Amino acid sequence: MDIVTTIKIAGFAVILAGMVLCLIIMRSDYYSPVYKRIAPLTFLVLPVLVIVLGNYHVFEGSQKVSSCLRCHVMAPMAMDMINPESTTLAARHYKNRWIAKKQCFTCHKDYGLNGTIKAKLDGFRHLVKYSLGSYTLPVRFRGRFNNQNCLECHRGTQKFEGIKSHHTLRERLESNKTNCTHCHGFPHPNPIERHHGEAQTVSLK
Amino acid sequence: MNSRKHPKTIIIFVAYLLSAWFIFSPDPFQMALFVFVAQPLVALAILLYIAEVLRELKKKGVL
Repeated sequence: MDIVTTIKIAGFAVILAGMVLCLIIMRSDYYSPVYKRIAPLTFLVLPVLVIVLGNYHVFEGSQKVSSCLRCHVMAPMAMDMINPESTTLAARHYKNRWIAKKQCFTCHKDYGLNGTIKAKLDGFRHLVKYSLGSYTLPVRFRGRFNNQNCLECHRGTQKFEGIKSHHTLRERLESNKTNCTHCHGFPHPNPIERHHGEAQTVSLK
Repeated sequence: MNSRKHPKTIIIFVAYLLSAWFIFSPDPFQMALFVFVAQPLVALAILLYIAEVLRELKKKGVL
């Protein structure tokens, strides 16, 4: 059993216990010993546990490609990534298994626990916009491409270091003055080239 | 039965329900409910409980 499933079961157990205690509290008198005994558990200990376990799912449980696909606005990017005919950076990384798993998260991991506050705020903004439907299609990348997401894996490898232009441009690459995409192409299709393929997207879940 | 304890019990019960929904089905809508509704409800219930404990301690002259 993987850690996500274990945390999920633990979360359910804690929530179930909390709900049972709530029902007991509703039936007990305010000054009764039963209330005094179970109130700290119901209103302090279990809620804190639920928040911790829930946030684990928010930050760590949503690293799978299938998790990203739950937002249908991401479907065109994911469909392109798994398309063997596509030559975008994401598709090449996927079909060659340069990234074996958690492909979306690996390149966008500044959303994760170790990411910056700005990335987390961006993630929450996306969540609000998606939930309220306050976005327009096609979605557009508002930020700036971060070379560090590429360099974290490629920096220091024999293949990377063997290319002369990487040395010539090292300072510009490290400071994001020149993007990796200038030479290697875009990671995802541009808005005109995107297609949904909803049926295939659903089968990935 | 004292009605003073019911608001926070209902608040925390709703928070538990929303959290269970998110953990069972972690879709974006449920995630938004957990992050922006369930978590503030939990914080509110905890604050109400702490206020209740402090009130009782003051009443008994402990504080």
